[in-house]
Amino acid sequence: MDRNHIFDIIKNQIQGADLSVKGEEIGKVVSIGDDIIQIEGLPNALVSEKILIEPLSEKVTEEPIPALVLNVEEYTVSAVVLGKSDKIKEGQIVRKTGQVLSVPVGESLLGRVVNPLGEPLDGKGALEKKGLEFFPIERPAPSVLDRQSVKAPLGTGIKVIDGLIPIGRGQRELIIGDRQIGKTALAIDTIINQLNENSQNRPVCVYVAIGQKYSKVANLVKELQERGAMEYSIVVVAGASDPASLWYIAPFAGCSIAEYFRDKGRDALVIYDDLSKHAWGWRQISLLVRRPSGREAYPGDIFYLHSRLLERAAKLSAEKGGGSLTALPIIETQLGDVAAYIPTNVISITDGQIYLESDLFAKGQRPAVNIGLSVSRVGSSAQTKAMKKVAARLKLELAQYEELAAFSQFAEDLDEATRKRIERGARLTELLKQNQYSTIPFEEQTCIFYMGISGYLDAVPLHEVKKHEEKLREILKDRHGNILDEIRKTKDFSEATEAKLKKVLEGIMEK
Amino acid sequence: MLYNKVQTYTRAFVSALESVPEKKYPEHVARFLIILKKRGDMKLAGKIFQEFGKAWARRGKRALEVISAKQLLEREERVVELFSKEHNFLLTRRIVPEVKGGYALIVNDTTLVDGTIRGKLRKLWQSFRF
Repeated sequence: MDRNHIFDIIKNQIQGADLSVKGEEIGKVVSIGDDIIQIEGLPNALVSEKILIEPLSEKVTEEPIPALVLNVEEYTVSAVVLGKSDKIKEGQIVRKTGQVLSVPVGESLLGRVVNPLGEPLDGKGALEKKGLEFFPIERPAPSVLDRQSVKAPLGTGIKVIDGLIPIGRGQRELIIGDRQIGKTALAIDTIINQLNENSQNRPVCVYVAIGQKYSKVANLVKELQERGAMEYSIVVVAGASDPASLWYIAPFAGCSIAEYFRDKGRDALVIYDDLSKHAWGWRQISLLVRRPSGREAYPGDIFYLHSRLLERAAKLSAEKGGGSLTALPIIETQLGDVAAYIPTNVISITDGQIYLESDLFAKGQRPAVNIGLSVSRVGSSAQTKAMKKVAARLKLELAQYEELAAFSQFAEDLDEATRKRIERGARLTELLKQNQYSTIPFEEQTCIFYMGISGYLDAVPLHEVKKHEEKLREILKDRHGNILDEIRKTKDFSEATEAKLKKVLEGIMEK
Repeated sequence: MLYNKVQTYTRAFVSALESVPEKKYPEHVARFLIILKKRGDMKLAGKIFQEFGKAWARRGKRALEVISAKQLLEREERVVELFSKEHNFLLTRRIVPEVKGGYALIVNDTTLVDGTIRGKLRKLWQSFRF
């Protein structure tokens, strides 16, 4: 670009800038401690308003430090600093912005890793300004009339979930379990599985990391990048070393970023990993601003904190564009205690939960989903016809197996029918095991479940069930792709398709 | 919190003293100290009297702080003093070389009129950012 041209652009920008002197409302910092500042002045400050603390340094380009107003008291305003508070001193001037805290949203965030203020963390430079908008982090949830019921499935690629605890687009499904049990793994596999959707139907995925180690997030981003999933994903990080204020706003920021796509008529998925830390962050801030504390020292509005966040996930009506926002909040329990305060709160808000159990994990059942305690309140409405047909029988078989599982130790002394039921159940349970990063599209899952429920595996030793599953998938992909295509296109499992699949299975079993 | 408590005591004390004749001041000061002792806030006495000094000087007037990069010139000084007398301001001046030039006025610690060079350059920088 010509040097004179650049000069003209800058000159026009300077001439166009409004540098007129105007009176503005200010305050002064009177105390600061634990990232909470007390400000004298700002008589018209509003709660949740963004305010800016003017930097003390000479440098003109030094950014003011943002803060969020929390309490408006008789003589002072309390605010929490959104960032580093070590450069704030008593007497510093604080300005109002007149705006609630907002975050940049738009297509230019796809593939990026940002903090809850929208600042890039991935070293790829500033966000592209084209199409960039700003959404407040707190936005009202869609009203009853703006919604429609959840019908379309959100495929996770995980057999136990897509078959037994199906998630629909617009649903809130909680993932709950102890530490190191595979909660994040389920969420990441769900993101990766969207590669199996065609680009028009593929939801935008937003992963919100709250209080996570940066090393863990870096590994996660690397996995998504290597598999090509970052192209349709956005990662919002409030790391373990970030202040509690960023932990507090991270899920709201992630939700606003996802809502941009929902409101444009597209599907979006947001994962909050995890809301237990989010609750801790809000507890810390509330105690520091001396709000009255309740049970387990949480503030009285701890339920409202999560309910207003999760209510923003919805399937919008056709008049509102038909977009959807699916939420997968994650909660970490302590020693499997699902009856604790925060877990019970979030369970009552969401449309179902996927409960991961340590015992199952230790026994090698991974994903360690406790099918008995897990539920999807949307249920089969969020399944394709094909999956519904096989999943109904699968559920029945597994339910019967669960009842009889305790007797499996006495297999020799049982009657033939009971023994067969136990054997069938054990093989179906074995079929539900799945490695991480090995997502399976729904059409293949349908065929795998059909193989299990129709008894083709009854005579197969337990340790060979996996081998048969892999063989089936290989043969279907290599030689009978038409079966998979038919299921994928029609989303149904017709009698004709069933007959073709039967022939394939008989061929496998003969060998 | 603590700052609010100090402010509450200060304003109550100022308003109590305003309504009594000067010869009754010692009596009221003694009573005030008894109240502080009874409420267990004697340790705040130092801060309260510090704030009291500022509030007492300011009573009935609004504070006007003039910020400049250098000492005001004689004619500037005259204009500012005349203005503050006419509008009943309690005038203070502060020299902050970092503002480079121009003036800023802070009224009652709640309103800022920023005409400094640093302020204008910062506004310009912000307009380039977004």
